Amino acid sequence: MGFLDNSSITVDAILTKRGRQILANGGDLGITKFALSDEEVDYTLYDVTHPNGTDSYGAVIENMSLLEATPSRTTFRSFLVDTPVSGMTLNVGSLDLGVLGKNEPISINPETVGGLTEQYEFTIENTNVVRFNGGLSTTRTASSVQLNTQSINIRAATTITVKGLSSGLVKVINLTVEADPGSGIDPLGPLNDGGAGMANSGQSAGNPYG
Amino acid sequence: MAYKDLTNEDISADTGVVTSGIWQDGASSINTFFSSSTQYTNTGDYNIDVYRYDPSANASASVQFGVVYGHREGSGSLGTKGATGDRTTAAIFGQFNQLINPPETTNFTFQGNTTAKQFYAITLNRARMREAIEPGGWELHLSSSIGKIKLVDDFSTNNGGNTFARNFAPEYNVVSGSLIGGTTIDTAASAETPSAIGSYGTFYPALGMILLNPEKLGTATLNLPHSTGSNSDDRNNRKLFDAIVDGGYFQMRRKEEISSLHYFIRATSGRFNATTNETFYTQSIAGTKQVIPAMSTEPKTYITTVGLYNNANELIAIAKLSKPILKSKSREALIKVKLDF
Repeated sequence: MGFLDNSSITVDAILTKRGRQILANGGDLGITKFALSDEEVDYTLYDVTHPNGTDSYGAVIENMSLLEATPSRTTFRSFLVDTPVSGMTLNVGSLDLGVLGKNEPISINPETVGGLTEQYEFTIENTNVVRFNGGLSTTRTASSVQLNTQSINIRAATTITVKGLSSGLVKVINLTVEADPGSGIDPLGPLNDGGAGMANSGQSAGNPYG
Repeated sequence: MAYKDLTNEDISADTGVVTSGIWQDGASSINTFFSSSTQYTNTGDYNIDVYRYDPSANASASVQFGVVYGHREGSGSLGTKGATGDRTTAAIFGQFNQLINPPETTNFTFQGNTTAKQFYAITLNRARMREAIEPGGWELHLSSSIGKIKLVDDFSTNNGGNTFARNFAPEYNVVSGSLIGGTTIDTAASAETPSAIGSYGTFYPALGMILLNPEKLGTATLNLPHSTGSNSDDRNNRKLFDAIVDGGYFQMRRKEEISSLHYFIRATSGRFNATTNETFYTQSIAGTKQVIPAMSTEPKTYITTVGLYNNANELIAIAKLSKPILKSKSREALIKVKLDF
C-alpha cells in the first residue's frame, strides 16, 4: 500500500533591495499580499503532439530548472491572473524613450486597449535616474504619471515598468539619462527614496500624480 | 487582478536554533593549528592569531581564534609603571576585566580561586562564531611535555550556568572531560583541589571566549609552565598556543537563532489560471492577443515565482521554485514560503 503525498512545496524567499532597505530603517516589512509569476516559462513549448500523451504535453516546461531569485528585482515580466487578457493590449506609447538630458519631463499615459478602464502601477527601477513628480517612491499607482529625469554624474539607464492592476498586463519602458558634469549624484549608488515608498499606500484610484 | 491578500491564517512565525561547525570549511573539529609569522612579529606580544591552514602556504587561510595572556601587574611582558614598554599583559588583563567583571573588580574568579590575577583566553573570530558558541559542544585538547588534558564546559550538569555576578551570562566552568560517547566530566569545577588554585577556567558562549586558569594548567597532569617575570617578554600566550598545537584537537560548534516567517501561498482552483506571459498568446496582424491553441480549450499556467508585497505594492521578497508547477482549474497549489532573518 502506498502513502498519499501530504507535502506542500516549501521554498526559501530572499528580501529584495527594497525589503532590505525597510529592515535597515527599522521598519516592518508589512507583507500583506502576494502575486504569482510564470517568468521563464515559454508556453509555446507546451506540446500537444507529444507521443506519450496528455500527461507529457508540458514535460519540457515542467522538467526545466529555474534561475535563482535576485534581490534587485522590483517587479516581474509576467503575472498569473484570473482572466485571460485575450483581445487586450497595454499601450504605453514608445517603449524606448532614448537618451534624455537632466530635468526633462516624461509623461506616461497608459491605455488598456480592448479592456475596461483600469489603474496602473508604475515602478521605477532606479530612482537616482528618474523620479515621479512630487515624490521619491519607487512605486506609484495611478492612471497616468509625470516624471522627471535627474541630474547624475555618469550616463545611466533605467526602466519604468507599467502594470495594469486589473488586467495584469505589463510593459517595460527603457530610457537613458546623459551625464551632468556638475552633478555629484552617482546613479549606481544607494537608492534614495526617503522611505517614502510606503507613503503611497492606499492612494485613491483615479488620482494621477504630478 | 494579480494580487491576492494574505490573511492571518496564511502567516506563521517561529524561531529555530541552528548549530553548525565553527571552523573554516564548516568543520566542527580541527587538528592542525598555525600562526602567522607576520602577525606574531608585529602584535604577537598581545595576541596570537590561530589558523586552520598555514597562512604562508594557503591564501584562503583565515583566522579561527586568538590566544592571549593577561596579568594584572603586567608580568610576563615588557614595561613597568614609569618605564617604557607596552605592558601588554596588563593591557589584556584590563581589557578582559573591564569587559567581563563588574566595576571595582580587580581579580578573576575560578571557583575556589577568587583572587586570580592572570588568565589565558581563547577568543573566537566573530565571523566564525556568528552569534554564540554552543554550550556543551566544544572540546579542547592541550598537551605539554609532561602530559595531556581534555577540556570541556560543564553545561551538561550546570545548565543555567554559574551564579557569580558577571557582565555576561551564562558563564560555565571549564572542566576536565570529554564529549566522546556523551559528555563525561572527570571532576566538577567546585570539587577541584586544591581549592585555592581553583578550576580550569570559565566559558562565555555569547562572547565566544574561554578563559583558562594558568595556575591550574600549571599543576599535575599538564604542568604547562608560565612565566611572570617583571619587564620580561615571556610570551606566555605562545606557551598556550604550543599546547594547543601539541594537543591537536579542537572541536566546537556555533549556535544561531533563526527567526522565520512562513507564508502559506494558496493558489485556489478558480484563480491564477491565466497569465500575462506573452508566449501564452498569439498576436494577430491587428495586434489583438489570442490564447495559443494548445491552451485555449483548457487553460493551464505554470508557477515559477512568488512575489511578496506590502500595501504600497512594493516587491519586498521573492521566492523562486526549483521547477515550474502546473496550475489549472482542476488543480490547486499550496506553496510555503520561508523568510529567514
